[in-house]
Amino acid sequence: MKIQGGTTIVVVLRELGFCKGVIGMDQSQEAREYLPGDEMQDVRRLKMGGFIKLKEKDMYALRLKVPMGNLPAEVLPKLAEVATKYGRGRISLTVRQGIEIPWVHYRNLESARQALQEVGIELAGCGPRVRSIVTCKGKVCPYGLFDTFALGEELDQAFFGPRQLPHKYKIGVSGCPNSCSKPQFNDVGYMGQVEPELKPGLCTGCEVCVEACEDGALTMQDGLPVRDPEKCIYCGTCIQVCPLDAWVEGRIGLAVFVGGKFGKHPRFGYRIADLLPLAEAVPVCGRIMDFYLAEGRKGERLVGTVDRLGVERFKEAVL
Amino acid sequence: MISNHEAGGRVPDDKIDLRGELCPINYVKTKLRLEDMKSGQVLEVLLDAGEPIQNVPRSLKNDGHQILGVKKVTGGAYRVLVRKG
Repeated sequence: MKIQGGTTIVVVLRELGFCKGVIGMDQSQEAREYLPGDEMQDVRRLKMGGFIKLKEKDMYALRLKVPMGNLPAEVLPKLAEVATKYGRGRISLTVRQGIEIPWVHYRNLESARQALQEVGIELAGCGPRVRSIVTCKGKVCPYGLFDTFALGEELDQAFFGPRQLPHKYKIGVSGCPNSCSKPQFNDVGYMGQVEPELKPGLCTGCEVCVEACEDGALTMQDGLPVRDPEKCIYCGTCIQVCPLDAWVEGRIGLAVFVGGKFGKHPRFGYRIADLLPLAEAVPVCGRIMDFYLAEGRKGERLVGTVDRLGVERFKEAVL
Repeated sequence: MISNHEAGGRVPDDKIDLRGELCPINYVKTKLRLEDMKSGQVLEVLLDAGEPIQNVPRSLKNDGHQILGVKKVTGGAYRVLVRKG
């Protein structure tokens, strides 16, 4: 069989176990031996995945990397072009803020990938690797407590890559306890928190904050609101509703959830820390990944490892 | 009633009763009334508890106006004094 174009892709797909029987195994080996150095680079990058086998024979979906669900508007015409030229003119949005172009024939995968690369669009991770980072809109939203895009970018730079893990590894970030991006259902989830501080001189005792607090954490004592730290969930509602700016932002940090997932057996992540300093997010995520690499069994999600070894031991290792 | 002290030593220049108005209509009506006033003048706004008192003063502050005082009145509503920015 003569292969024209797409050789690199086919080699990688075979290595990933995707296209058995498409072409002979010996030919793949041959192709690999003759690949020039820069194409080997491609092979390594392509191992990160980004091709989803579809039900229809020889057809794949291209999974595009859309970090934090954001794309510059000017790349959209190129997506439309690729979807029309190599797919069937359709673009799908994924649950994790990604984009997929379905029905690309395996022979066209390399050309489609290159066309996307022209506008800086890479393919996203699949398989037992770090997946595209999901965040909420952060500071764009009135409730956002910190810049989730900046943290998402840092996490992406630090962890997104071809490194094989025991299973998929999802990271999610939300800017406040409203948890719009559902950090609790990620292997590692970060949720923004703020510790409110009262400037007693500015408070006139109007009680707007006491009524607004959904957790009953505020009570009036001697004409001033007093916060119960046991009930407070650090959402910052009191700060937002105070008409006189008597409640102000104190520490801003992160609640840390680990072991969340969906799938056939959904789990809500263990909450292992509150008000973690933002600068600790990347180091903590790194230690969690090291722990998972060292202790996780093949095919076991992080929650399985934590359940098996105990959350206390896990916390000691990563915090 | 809000004392002169709470009003920054001033009697309101105008009043608007927005009890029963939903968000964001209450905010828009406040905005429109403030447009007819001069910078530095004080508007007294009556707002319901819940969303209105939690949102309208915040939006007014974002627009550059100043909240001089907030007081609960009978019936669970709030009297807010706003100085036009």
